[in-house]
Amino acid sequence: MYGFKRDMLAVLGFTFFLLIIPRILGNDYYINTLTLSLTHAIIAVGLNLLMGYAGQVSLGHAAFYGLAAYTSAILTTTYSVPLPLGMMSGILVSGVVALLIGIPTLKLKGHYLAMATLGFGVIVYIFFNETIELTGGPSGFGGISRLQVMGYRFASDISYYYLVAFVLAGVVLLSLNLIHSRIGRALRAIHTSETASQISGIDIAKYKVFVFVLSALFAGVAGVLYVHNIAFVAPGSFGFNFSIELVTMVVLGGMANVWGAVIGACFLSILPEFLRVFENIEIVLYGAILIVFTIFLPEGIAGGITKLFLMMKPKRSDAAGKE
Amino acid sequence: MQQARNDILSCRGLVVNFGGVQALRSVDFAVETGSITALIGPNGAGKTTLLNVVSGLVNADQGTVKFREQDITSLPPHKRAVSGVVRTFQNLEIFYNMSVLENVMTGCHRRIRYSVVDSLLKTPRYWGGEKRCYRYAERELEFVNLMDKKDTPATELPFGSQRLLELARAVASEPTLLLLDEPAAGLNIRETGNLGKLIRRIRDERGITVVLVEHDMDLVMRISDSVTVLNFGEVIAQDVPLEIQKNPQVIAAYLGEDEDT
Ligand SMILES: Nc1ncnc2c1ncn2[C@@H]1O[C@H](COP(=O)(O)OP(=O)(O)OP(=O)(O)O)[C@@H](O)[C@H]1O
Ligand SMILES: [Mg+2]
Repeated sequence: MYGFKRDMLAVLGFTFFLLIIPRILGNDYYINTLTLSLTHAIIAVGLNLLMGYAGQVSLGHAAFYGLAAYTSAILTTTYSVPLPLGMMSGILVSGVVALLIGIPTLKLKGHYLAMATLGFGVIVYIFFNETIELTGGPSGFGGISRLQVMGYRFASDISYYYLVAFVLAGVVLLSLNLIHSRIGRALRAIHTSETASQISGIDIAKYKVFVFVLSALFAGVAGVLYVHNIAFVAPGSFGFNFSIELVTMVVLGGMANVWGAVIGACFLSILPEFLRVFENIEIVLYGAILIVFTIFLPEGIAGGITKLFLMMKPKRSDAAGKE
Repeated sequence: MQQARNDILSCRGLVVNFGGVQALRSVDFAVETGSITALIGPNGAGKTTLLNVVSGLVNADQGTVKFREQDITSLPPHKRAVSGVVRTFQNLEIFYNMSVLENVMTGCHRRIRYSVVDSLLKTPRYWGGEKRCYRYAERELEFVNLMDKKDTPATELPFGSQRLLELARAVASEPTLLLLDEPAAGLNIRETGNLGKLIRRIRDERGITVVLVEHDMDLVMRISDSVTVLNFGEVIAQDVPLEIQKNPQVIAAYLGEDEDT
């Protein structure tokens, strides 16, 4: 059913791929860019569950990322809370806040979630900027301790990269598992027909809140991983722009495709590094590339790859889809 | 007569207003357990609205809905589905982002109850549930004769097959009361004949009570045990098919429609 073996193989292959990239690159600067890309991918995979599968739009996911990052940073730095506890709290705060926003807005029909998250994102951003005593204001604060698990300190950039790679692989596997279950079917059903979903016995409000909270938790995981890597936090990383960039990652990579979100996140996070040499026209090129991609790959990069694959093997046997 | 019957559904005094339009004006509607009850009436009579009220998609301004002796008037649609009230739609509501098989598996949602954790970790409960779900879905696809299309994207099915797919999805959720809103609309004569047989089998083999909203009078007269006629939001007749055909009020309602249009 659902090609579970295929999923497992794909995740294993993906993990292996992530593990050998550093050996190919061998440059610490690139490693940090990669780590950041994979961190973004964790958020994008969660956002894709919400947007691509369940069809609910969030324009404030950067805020969940930021809330977890700030919470953990402040707790562990200012209040000397132990690292694991601080990180757990950070992730939890993102989840609980999502629950509080989701319950009232997702009961309503229509795009209230998009509006609510848009406003929420802006408020959180202002909060990070204005509560200077707590957050350090616009310039943020540093001196945040690097991640440590059971005595092992992820001191080198490469060790941190491996950590984030493993977490991403886990997040991808869990997401694939979720999608290929009755819960995943319910989410996809809600996307096309809320009426027919209800008639099939699906509690649509419950599932929407669930997937929204789950996506906020993923963003939270990314947030704490981010902040204990960079060891510095400032509001600039969690503004409206980044929320939009996250949405772009999902759409560009391929909606309703777990791998698409990973590809989209890596593509958008790495692209600016390549465009940097063009200096002045960097932003123009960036925009042009996005436009070209959306025109020629309406189903995202992952959708394009799938199509290409199908074109090369026009007579793919039916058995490949099953187990 | 009313007392001797065992009604699975009984609606009393249903009123639904859409702005100025009175879609239902104090409708009483009862369905005998194990029957195929047809609900007919000219366009705009309020048939779909009545099904919407029974399935919980529209809330009545007044009146009560009782299902198996329980008052379900204020129950949300998904809970009604879970308790056994399921329907199909006049304008198809297929899950267009899924394969044919997945559509029907989604219909089985309430019959398999493993949790989120079971899904995330693929526990034995997950595998057991999915296998059962697959079997249920397969059975219904065989029932409507769409098994050979199971991996086809639902969008690629011809219209008639999409109607059957919706029927399979509805039956897959194991309802006790199945509401069909114009299932023969857009079907040709052969497809309609086949549909009639399927509806019969749904009642005879599965013991599912069926409410059939339909404009195809041949089909209605052939398979239903009882016919309720709605006109301008009011029940104007309820009887066995043969009597309904002779009822002057019913004839007038349909003739009136013919004159208007
Ligand atoms: N959501 C709505 N908003 C406003 N008016 C509505 C709505 N739904 C139905 N109506 C109106 O209520 C009346 C009854 O409509 P309904 O769809 O129940 O009729 P019907 O008997 O199913 O007709 P048909 O045979 O054409 O399907 C119509 O006048 C219709 O225009
Ligand atoms: Mg109708």
